[in-house]
Amino acid sequence: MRPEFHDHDRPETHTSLEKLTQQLQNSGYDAAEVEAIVGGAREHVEELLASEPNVSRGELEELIIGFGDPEIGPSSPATGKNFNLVGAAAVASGIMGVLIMIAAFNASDPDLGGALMLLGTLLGGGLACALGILSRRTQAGLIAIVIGATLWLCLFAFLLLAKIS
Amino acid sequence: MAWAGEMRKGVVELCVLALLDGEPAYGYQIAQRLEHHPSLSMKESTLYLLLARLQKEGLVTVEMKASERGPKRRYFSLNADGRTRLSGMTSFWNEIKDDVSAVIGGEGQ
Repeated sequence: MRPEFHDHDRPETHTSLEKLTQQLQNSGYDAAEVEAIVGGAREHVEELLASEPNVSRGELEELIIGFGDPEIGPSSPATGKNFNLVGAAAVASGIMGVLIMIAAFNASDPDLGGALMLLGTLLGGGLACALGILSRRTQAGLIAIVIGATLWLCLFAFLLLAKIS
Repeated sequence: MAWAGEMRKGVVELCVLALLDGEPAYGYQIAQRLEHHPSLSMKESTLYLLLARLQKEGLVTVEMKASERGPKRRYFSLNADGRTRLSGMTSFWNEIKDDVSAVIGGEGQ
């Protein structure tokens, strides 16, 4: 997420707001929280400029960077959480995709194998990636993304090999 | 004094709700009002985070209004749910204040 550029923003204000956004994101604040704090910083800058138009660049930067360390922590901590329901569902989808892929490779009928391979990638890999992205702050989510991506790579590799041969 | 911040966290929501009870106010204005009470003064970022959470919980409503000579401002006002929360928190605060005073004063030892 990048802060929205306002027409009346000074360039140094915008740069500092970008730094603030990055700092808050790195601390684990979600998009709405970051937006609220960055919006607050901008409001303070605008109020300050309205009352003291000659305020220095350094003072503005200092004011904005001062917003980077709220006394209340993020509502959804970025670290320390390894598991949640969405992450578990993502991993389960990935495992289901892998099992379908194994069945596809073992299928005696090539048409059935192809259909199973598509099903495993689209359903298992797709769900694993989508749910994994939703729960990317958990280890389960990250594992699911890796499984999902691997399934998609397998499908592309197989299609490439089939085309070459 | 980390412990002071911890103690303040518990009551600052009550204070912000109370400040919004009379009339709508914008963030900068709330921060200025809190600065008149040094023990409640907090970082501005904390205030905006708190306001965002109050909004998310449906306790305050937000309205953009133009100012006379400055920028547009986001005015926060307490809604019915916010007033209910404020009433509950105020009652509990009175209870806890009395109990803490009694314990500190040595009652019941």
